[in-house]
Amino acid sequence: MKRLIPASIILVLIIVLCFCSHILVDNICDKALNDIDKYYNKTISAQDIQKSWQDKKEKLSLFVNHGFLDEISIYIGQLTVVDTDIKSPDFETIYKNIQTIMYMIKEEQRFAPHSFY
Amino acid sequence: MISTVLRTIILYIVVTLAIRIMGKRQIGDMQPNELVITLLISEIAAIPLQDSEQPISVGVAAISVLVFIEIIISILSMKSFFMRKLLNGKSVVIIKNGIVDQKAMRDVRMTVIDLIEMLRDKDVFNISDVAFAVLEVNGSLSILLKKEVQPITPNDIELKTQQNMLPLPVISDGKIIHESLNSLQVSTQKLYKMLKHHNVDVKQIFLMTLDRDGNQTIINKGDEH
Repeated sequence: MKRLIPASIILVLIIVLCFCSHILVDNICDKALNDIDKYYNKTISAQDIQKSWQDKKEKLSLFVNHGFLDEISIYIGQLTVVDTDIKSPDFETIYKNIQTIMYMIKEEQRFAPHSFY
Repeated sequence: MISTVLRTIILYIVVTLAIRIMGKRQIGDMQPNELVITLLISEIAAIPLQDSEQPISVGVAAISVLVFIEIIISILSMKSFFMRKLLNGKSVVIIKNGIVDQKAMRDVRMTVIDLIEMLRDKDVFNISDVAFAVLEVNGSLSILLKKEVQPITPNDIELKTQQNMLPLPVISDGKIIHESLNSLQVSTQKLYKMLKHHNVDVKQIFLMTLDRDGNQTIINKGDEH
């Protein structure tokens, strides 16, 4: 019965970790997409968005596949060189790619029956 | 490269802690569910090591869940006979009153050669010497020899003997083990007196054992005992 205490602690930590990962990933992905919108609306600069993404990437790397994060880093790098003065198709394409990856990341964290199969 | 090194260190610590919490036994003594957990933990720990794109938290979380499951199952097995039987199975008597139960052997898919090998492993070379043989859930064979071939004990010849005292290591690799001295209720001064009697210093000793009757064994460093 002595081992019930560490087992209970482990269970609590696992539950906390699951909730934290879900909430953190959701929030950070939403914030990242907001940042891109701000960059499109010229509210923040290219440097700001890259720095902001670096911070978010470090937090996301605790729970998310690093390959996805590296892909997003590449797209954000591309975003900062495309023209945002007019409604650039390149910008739209890159933005949609980032959205897709963010969606995949969120789906991975979501508690859904299909993720068990 | 550095990340691989760090991940290896972290996962090594996590797996060691996991094994420590679960209280693992040697592979030969494990129950089936314990063996499953051990294999799974080793496989899961390898994934973040091999694939640096996987976050380490995934491996740690999976290992933690396995540790939790193992602890709960072991507690349930302790409390419930049904759970123990369900998870671990039950022992099977292979030889009863000197007669080999061939049906039981078929049920556990054991051949005669397997049986003979397991008996030899227990230093039994003649199957007719065995009164009872039980195949345990961890796959080992427990044997009770027939009375006529069992080794003689002091009881058999009505010989009075003293109880064995457990010898404890009191010096290991030149260092005194104070816990053992406390168990034997021997002071450090008394120990030094014993060593002086043998004309040795603590630092020269590889191993010294002592029991409550004062029986000592000393192996010096560099000795071929």
